[in-house]
Amino acid sequence: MQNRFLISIATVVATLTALPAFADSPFTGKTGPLKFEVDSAKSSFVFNADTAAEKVGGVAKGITGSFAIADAAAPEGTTGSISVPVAKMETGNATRDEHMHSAEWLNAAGHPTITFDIAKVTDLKVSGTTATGKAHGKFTLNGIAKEISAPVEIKYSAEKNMIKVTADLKVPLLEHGVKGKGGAVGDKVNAIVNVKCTLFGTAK
Amino acid sequence: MADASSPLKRVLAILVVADVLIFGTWFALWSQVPAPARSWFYQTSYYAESGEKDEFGDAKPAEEVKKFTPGLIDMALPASFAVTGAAVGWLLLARRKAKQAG
Repeated sequence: MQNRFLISIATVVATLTALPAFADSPFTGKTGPLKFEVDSAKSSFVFNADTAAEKVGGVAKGITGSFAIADAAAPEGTTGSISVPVAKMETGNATRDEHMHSAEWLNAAGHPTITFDIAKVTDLKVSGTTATGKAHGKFTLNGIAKEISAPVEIKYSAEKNMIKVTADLKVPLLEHGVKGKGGAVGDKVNAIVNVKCTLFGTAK
Repeated sequence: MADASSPLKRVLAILVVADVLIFGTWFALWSQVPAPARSWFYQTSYYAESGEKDEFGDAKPAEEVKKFTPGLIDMALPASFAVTGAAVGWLLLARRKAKQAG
């Protein structure tokens, strides 16, 4: 009788300890590695910069990249790589775009892409098929790479087998050697540019 | 005195009409752009949220809207200065001619 009781308790404990492996992942019901490729047409990279005259907003097109989840049951091992072509960053004003792409600013000719290589995701909080946490990785702008961490949200749709990753980045222009014409960055243009990445990934 | 004030009044009236047209056109087009996307410089397009939902039921990110909007700093103000400059130049020329004739 006592043995049966102990076995029952052990079974309940084993079941309860096994549950968090699924509950701590937005990839409900999935195990093993997952790979997603960034959908360029749907994904966006919206940036906002404060200048002396006004707030300047723009969008980058042609984003490419991928995400790899080592184990769907433990998404902390999420890695990824995103690439944004500088020449495809637009603000809706051709003159301003030309200045932004020039060597004094983002230097599209010398360093044609901005990249964000995600090494890991920490502080994950999972609610249903949504996970929030901090993405850590290397952000490269103007050829200068810096380690950054940014709040990230990962949503998964089992039905469509796709993910949506949103991240809010604060890009320090001066740390990436972007000084602007006549040293405008930090003076007439705020040294921090806010970027909101919205990336849609389809399963490979 | 009457000869001098007449052209001045005419020029001032023309300047007022020209400025109303310049700044009125600029304001009419500028005010059609949603407030967060408004610029003091010309724009051929702007970025705004469409209000549509994506596959995950969230608001879609800002999308490009093709629409020309003249800039206050790089179009309306220079146009007004050009018109005012031309009017002042014409007025000075008219005065000089009047003096030479008189």
